[in-house]
This record gives sequence, C-alpha cells and structure tokens, in this order.
Amino acid sequence: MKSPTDRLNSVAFLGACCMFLSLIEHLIPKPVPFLRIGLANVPILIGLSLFSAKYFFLLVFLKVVAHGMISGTLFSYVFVFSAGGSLTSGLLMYLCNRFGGRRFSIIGISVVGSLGSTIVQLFLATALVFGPGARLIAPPLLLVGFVTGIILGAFTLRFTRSSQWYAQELAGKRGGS
Amino acid sequence: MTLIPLLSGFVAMIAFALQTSLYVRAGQTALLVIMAALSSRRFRPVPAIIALIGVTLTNLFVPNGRVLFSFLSLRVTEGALELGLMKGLLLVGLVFLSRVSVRPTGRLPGALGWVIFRMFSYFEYLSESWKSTKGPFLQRLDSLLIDARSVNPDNQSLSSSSSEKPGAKRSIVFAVVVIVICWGPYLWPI
Repeated sequence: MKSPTDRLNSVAFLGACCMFLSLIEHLIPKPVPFLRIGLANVPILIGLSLFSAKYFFLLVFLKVVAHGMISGTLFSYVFVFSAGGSLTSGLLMYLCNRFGGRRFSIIGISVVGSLGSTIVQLFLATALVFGPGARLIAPPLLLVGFVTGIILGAFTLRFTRSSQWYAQELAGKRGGS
Repeated sequence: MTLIPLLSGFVAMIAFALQTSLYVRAGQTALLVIMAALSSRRFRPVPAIIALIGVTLTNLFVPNGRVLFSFLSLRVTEGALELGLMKGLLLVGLVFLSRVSVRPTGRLPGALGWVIFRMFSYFEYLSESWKSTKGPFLQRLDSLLIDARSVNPDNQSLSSSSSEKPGAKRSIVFAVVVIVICWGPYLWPI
C-alpha cells in the first residue's frame, strides 16, 4: 500500500518527467515558433489514471512551476499563458476521465485538453498582448492543438500499453486503493 | 539566501509592469537584456526579438491615432505602434527579468518545497542518465523510469543546494540592480 509520502514522491517523479520531456522537445527544431508538440503533457495524461484529484492537480501545478523555473519565464506573460492553458486542460482532462467513462479514449481526452488549453491561451493573448488581432492566429493554433492532441494521445496510449514502469505503478495504485 | 533573487524579481516585476513611459520601459528592457547576458544562464535574444516584432506587428492591425506611414495596404498609426511596442517590451522585459531572477536550485520551505526539490533531483538524474540508455525512444524512457525508482534524491547533487554557494553574493548584487532598474524611474523621475 502506498503512503502519502510515496504518492508525493511519484508526483515529484512525474513532474521531473514533464521537465525532462520539455527539454527533449526543446532540442527538436521547430519550423515556426508556436508549433509546440507539448510532450510535457504526456506525464499529465499518465497521471490521470494513477492519481486522485489532489495529487493530479499537484502534478499539473508542478509542471507549470517547473517549466516557468527551467525556462526562466516565471514572472512573464509566457508563464500566465502556460498556467492558464495547463490548468484548464488539466481540469478538462480530469473531468473527461472522471465522468466521461468509456466515451473518451486517452486520445479523445488528450484532444479535449489540447483544444481547451489553446482556447484559453487565445483568450489570454487577446486580453493581455495582441488585442483583437489575435483572431488572425486562432485558426492555425487550433489546428495545431487538434493535431498535437491526437499525436500525444496516441503516444501516451502506446507508452501505457508497452511500459513495465506504468504497469508497476498501476499495480501499486490498485494495491493501495 | 537562494530566495532573495526570486523575491527581488517579484518586487521588480510590479514596478516594471506598471511603467507607463515607452522610453523608460525600452531602457529598462535593454538593461534587463544586458543583465541576462551577464548572468551565467543561457542567453538567447533571437526568440525575444521575434516576439517583440510579432506583438508590435499584430497590434498595428488595429489603427489608433495619427497615420505615420503606409506599408502595402497597412496604415501604420502612432497609437497602435506605441501600444504594440509597450506590450512587446513588457513581454520581452518580463522574460529577461525572470531569467535573471529565477534560479532552479533554490530550495523552498515546507512540504511543497520538498516535492519541488525532489522533482529537480529526479530531473537531474533523468537528464544525466538519458545518454547512457540505448534502443527505441519508448524503451529507453521506460528503462530510465524503472531505474530512477531506485534513486534516493537526497543523495543527489541538488541536496547541497541548501548550503551557501559561491555565486550567492553575485546573485544578491544582481537582485539589487534589478530592483534599482525597475523602481529607479519612480524614485528618480527622468
């Protein structure tokens, strides 16, 4: 059975995975600046099936703070966008997973989270930086959000099906619940 | 000690965000860019320049005030240009303010500080061990995750972060300079 300390340790561990995947994504060349795959969301998708609401949202919070600290954007609009997008997508993905039952696959959950994050970031961009001109970048951003949501969901599905680590974590959760 | 740059960044951010003069903000941003270049953290000005140009150009699509000149079918107005530059400089200035102020080795107090500390320790382990893994991406990731379970973060190098580091005095100097840059124009109006 997992103690609260073990759970916190697992959250810290997945938080580190978020940071690590952010670093890997940073190394992948991007044709345009806003074209982000969002690899750091994979641990969040994995955390959905491993943690209760309390620990899941702690993981989302850690991802946001860690990214802000690593990229050095903690006091900037970039951080506000990141926090707004991540918290919204985390909430939407949690609700889909908790109440959606079998109607949502992990790919569907990922797409909902990705689109939710993009929409909130567009609202924030309109309100804080770009003004009404932000509508010009909305169509490509939503398209990118949709496509990356599918890619990340498929990646997570493949990982959870083949990973020994995930199988052990899931067994630990079931043993503890 | 490691919290001082973080707190100074927060205090400076308030003054920087409330600045209403375009010229003062431009000067503050330039000084923050220099500070970021002088600090040991990685310095990449190109994305910031692209962001500044992008934000300014986007704001030009909403005309405001006197027409300065026309480019193709776009009328560049004074108010839109000033607003775009103000927003762009705010965006860029805050990014560089963060780069100067935020250091990932600072250990925060309490349970949350413990979790964040562990996260950075695991991150350090994952970053250092990735090169030693072989095989397909998912397999490498999985084996690394399994190996990382056996790691005791308290034995990792970040555990020494609570002790005084050689750069501590330098970071305090940086913290003071950042506050002077951002609050100075209020105390000594230009």
